[in-house]
Amino acid sequence: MLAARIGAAFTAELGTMQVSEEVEAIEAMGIGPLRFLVAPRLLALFLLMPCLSTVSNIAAIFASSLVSKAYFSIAFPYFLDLVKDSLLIRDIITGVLKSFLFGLLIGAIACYRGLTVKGGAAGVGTSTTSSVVTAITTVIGFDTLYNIVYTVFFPT
Amino acid sequence: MVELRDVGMQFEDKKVLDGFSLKVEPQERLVIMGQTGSGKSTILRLILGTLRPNSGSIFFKRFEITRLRRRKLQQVRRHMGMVYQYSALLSSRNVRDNVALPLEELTDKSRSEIDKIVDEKLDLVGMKDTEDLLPEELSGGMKKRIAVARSLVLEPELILLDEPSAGLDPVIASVIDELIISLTEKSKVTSITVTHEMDSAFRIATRMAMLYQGKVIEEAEPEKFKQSKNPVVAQFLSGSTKGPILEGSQDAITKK
Repeated sequence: MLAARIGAAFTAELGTMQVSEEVEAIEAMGIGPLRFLVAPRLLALFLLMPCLSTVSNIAAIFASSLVSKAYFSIAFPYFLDLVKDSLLIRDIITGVLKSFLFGLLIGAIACYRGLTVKGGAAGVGTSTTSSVVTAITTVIGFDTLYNIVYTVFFPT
Repeated sequence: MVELRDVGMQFEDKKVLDGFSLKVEPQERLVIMGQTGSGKSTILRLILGTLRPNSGSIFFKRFEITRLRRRKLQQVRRHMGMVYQYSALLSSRNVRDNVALPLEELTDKSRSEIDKIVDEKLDLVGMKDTEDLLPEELSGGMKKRIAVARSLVLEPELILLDEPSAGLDPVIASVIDELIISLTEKSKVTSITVTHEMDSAFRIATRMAMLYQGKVIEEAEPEKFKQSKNPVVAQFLSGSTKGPILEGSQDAITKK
């Protein structure tokens, strides 16, 4: 979701700046585009992702409790007990760590695609699509890899 | 101030500059003329170091631009100001923030000092009333003037102008030209302007150079340039359809 929402926005914004010579103008002033344009975006996603991830995890548990109550008549206190039993601290830690990594990946891919746009408005469109697809694929790939490493080397 | 020595530049299979050499003295107003797509803007980008030539060397003062590392190049660029053909103002920032950007990012000046410099530069280009407007709310001529103001905030020694009066009405074009002349005279700035706008070129220039097929084929003061015997220059200045420029194109088309 973040790749589609924020990643696409980053690519489109930087891509438009690239084709309208704004990025070159920044460079021509002696300002590093990486520091001025890329670093704040990467940092924002790096810090935002764990927050969003935490909020979405809490929302997921809350939604599950509602579904459990509605369809399986599981009472909220019992549901919470089950959550407490099955949720390990290390799951929370790895989840948060992963979200830092995913934030960086999405940000880096989005900014790279934006700054390498060629071919005017059509190029911005193509790069934005490519950015979203690459980011989603990379995140899924890294997530799979991470989970394999995690379960193989650190079994429960 | 600036020297390009035997510079060659090629984009894929198109040779843009081929053994291009040019020297610019301090406080000169050099105008480089040439056909559309002849590589005039490329020359400015090479001087700025945003493009690297395939061969040759480029010097700005004692620095060889072509050999500088990124960090040093960024420091050297602070002594240059660039005005792009389409102004290249940051569309998300208003006029004041656009002009203030180099000061905010590259100096330790306080907010009040920055505001004072921005006011001064906006006043210089006659755009003080537009400081809260976004670039999309400005006309082409206004954008150009803001771009000039932005290029001057760091007090550069060299200002590079890419088609400063292209697409503007004759009156605004003259205003821009006079602004460039007064800036270079008052602030002792050296300027390199690329244009194919004849009136503007002759108004600004203290020296002119003609770029043709990747080389400088004529270089002289405006009066001498006007009387050049070179058939390419003569055809370019007269705007005639008969002459070596179109024959050259025809040859090139036939060869293909």
